Amino acid sequence: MDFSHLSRRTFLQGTGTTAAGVAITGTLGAGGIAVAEDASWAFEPKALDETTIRGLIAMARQLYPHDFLDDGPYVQVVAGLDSSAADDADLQQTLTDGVSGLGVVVSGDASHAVPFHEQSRGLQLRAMKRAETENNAFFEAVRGATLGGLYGNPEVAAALGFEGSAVEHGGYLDRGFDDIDWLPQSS
Amino acid sequence: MARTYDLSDDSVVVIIGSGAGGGTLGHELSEKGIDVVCLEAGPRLDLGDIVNDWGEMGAKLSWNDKRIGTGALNPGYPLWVCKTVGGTTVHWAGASLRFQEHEWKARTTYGDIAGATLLDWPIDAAEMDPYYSRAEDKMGTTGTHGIPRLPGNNNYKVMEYGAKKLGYQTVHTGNMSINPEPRDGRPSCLQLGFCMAGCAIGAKWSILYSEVPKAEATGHFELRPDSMVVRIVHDDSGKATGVEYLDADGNLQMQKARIVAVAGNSVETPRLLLNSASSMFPDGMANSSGQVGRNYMRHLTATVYAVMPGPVHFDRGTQMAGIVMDEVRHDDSRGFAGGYLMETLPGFGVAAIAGNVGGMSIDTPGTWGRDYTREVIENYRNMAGMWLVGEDMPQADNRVTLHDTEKDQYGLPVPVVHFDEHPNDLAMRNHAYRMGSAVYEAAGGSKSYELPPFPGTHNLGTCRMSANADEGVCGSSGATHDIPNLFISDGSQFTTGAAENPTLTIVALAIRQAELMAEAMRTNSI
Repeated sequence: MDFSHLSRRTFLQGTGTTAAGVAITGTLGAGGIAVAEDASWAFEPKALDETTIRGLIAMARQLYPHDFLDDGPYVQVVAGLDSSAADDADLQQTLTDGVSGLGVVVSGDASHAVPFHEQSRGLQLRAMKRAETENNAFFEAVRGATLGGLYGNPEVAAALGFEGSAVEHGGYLDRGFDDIDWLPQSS
Repeated sequence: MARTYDLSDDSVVVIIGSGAGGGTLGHELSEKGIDVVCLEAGPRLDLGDIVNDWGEMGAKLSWNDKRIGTGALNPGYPLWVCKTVGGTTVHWAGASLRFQEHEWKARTTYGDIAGATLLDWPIDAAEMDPYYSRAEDKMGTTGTHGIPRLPGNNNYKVMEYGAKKLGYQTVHTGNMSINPEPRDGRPSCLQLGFCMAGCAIGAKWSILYSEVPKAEATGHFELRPDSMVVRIVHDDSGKATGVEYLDADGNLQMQKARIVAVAGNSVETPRLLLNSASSMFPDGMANSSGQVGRNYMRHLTATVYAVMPGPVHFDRGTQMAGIVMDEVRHDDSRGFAGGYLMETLPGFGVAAIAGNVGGMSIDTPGTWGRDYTREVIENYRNMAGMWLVGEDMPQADNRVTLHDTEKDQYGLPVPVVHFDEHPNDLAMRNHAYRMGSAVYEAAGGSKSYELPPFPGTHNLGTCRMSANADEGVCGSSGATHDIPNLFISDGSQFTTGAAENPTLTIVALAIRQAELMAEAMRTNSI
């Protein structure tokens, strides 16, 4: 249970992967889009436009970056958000406006439009910190979905050391529940 | 074999709630040949519904109806309890510890503490001893009745090593109602590691599969799941005569009763009494003292996670895999009254750790970003974790009330739960954080994270037991001071919270209450 990020809504959604039910079909947009080159993690958008989707993928990775992950699990997080947005017009608006807000680089008194997914890492972090303060509802919606979707993804969780459902394997009684080997023997 | 009873049958005992208190009371009464109708707000699951998935089981088991927390509580989710047949005995971790002798006499032992509404229980340790023994036998508690203790997992071994290095003496794998070997028709523990998602094999004692089927087999017990009680009704003499409830189809039904026993956990129990206000009882039933809903306690609670030098895999094996008991004594020299326990507890999966450690501990590089993932999340496999649970002080203004305007899906006013900490609670938690972190440092931990309380799983005291009718809601049998055939049968009865996980005491009190109730029925005093 993620109590830090708990609202009734996220609690009900739980920590299960949001990507489990996403159809991995088609490609994301057209015209040599990098994230669509690997069809294994492309998806057919239901609600969000391409700029928003690309921005959310970049944001999900900047929120919880792991060098050992390619974009796939982050794309799955965004596929889940896109699915939710298809049934929730308010969420769709929040996400679209939020990414649009991230696509602004502020320099002195001037603002310049640069799509978020095309910004450098440092500029992205600036935009995200700004959103965390100024558009917290958007920021937390994406952060909550990324926490649940990324770490609820069984493959990501396994890579980090959470081994998932145990009952079908007979538990850990014979699979290392007490296999610690680095601790000195206690007296 | 399960009986059914007519709505108009006014000879039955109606029990509201099928958790540790209500479920035990129902089974015990049915064994004595007393007819019971048990109304449970949640659905009836079976073992096949229990899977090793935190998100799925959180949604399936939890009480997610709207509640509002104020003060120090999570505003949108102040409690983490269950709405399902078996109540919180489906998701409990299994720790089954007796109160210490002095904890029955908190007011006498701790003295007058400013701001605390301490009382002595109107029962003592000697009187409870045989009921504890029967509860432990019923539940198959390890370390009692010749039942061996469970083996310790990695998370336990880390805690044990650090604790012993610090000089702690009483460190073991606990008194757990989880079978180390097959017993009472239930299998032995396979160390699945999802105790609090519900035990998928039934090795852990739960009302759901341990007590309900036995109660049904007596032919004196009817369970009605998906039945939300909305009001207790009474006659002109003020005696409870039955309850109104919404059945699975949302239809309002009225079940008559000879006795009504309320066991809805410490928010729903007072809420129901308050919602049962009438012209005769304008402040709610059994509330002439004004104490219904007051003195809400939720135990100290705190969590320490630590990054250890090697893999721990703390999700493997029983979650509450062991205990350090040295700090549970009462010892004024530490600067607080009462005591606390250290119990291992992992983190409910990576997603929960990733959110909770950053969101609840101050000592992390923020809640997101590269430094956060490297320091916290990528150390997941090396994490050890413990839960700190101790006695908190009862306070009159920590209470359950009804919201003025907001209603839930049943049309009932939403409960508002207020809780602020007493200075004693803070002093104890400070000590517990320091010692918990020290345990992990002694075992080689490089960094520990202190997390404040999760939404309460030990919710106590809102209809408390008192010798004097003006200081509490019920007497030593659980019968309310105002209405002799209306009983409190869950943790709401607790006069004070003690340090120990409460389920064993709730079960022991229910066994005792069944005896007293049966005797009162036999002698026609009810």
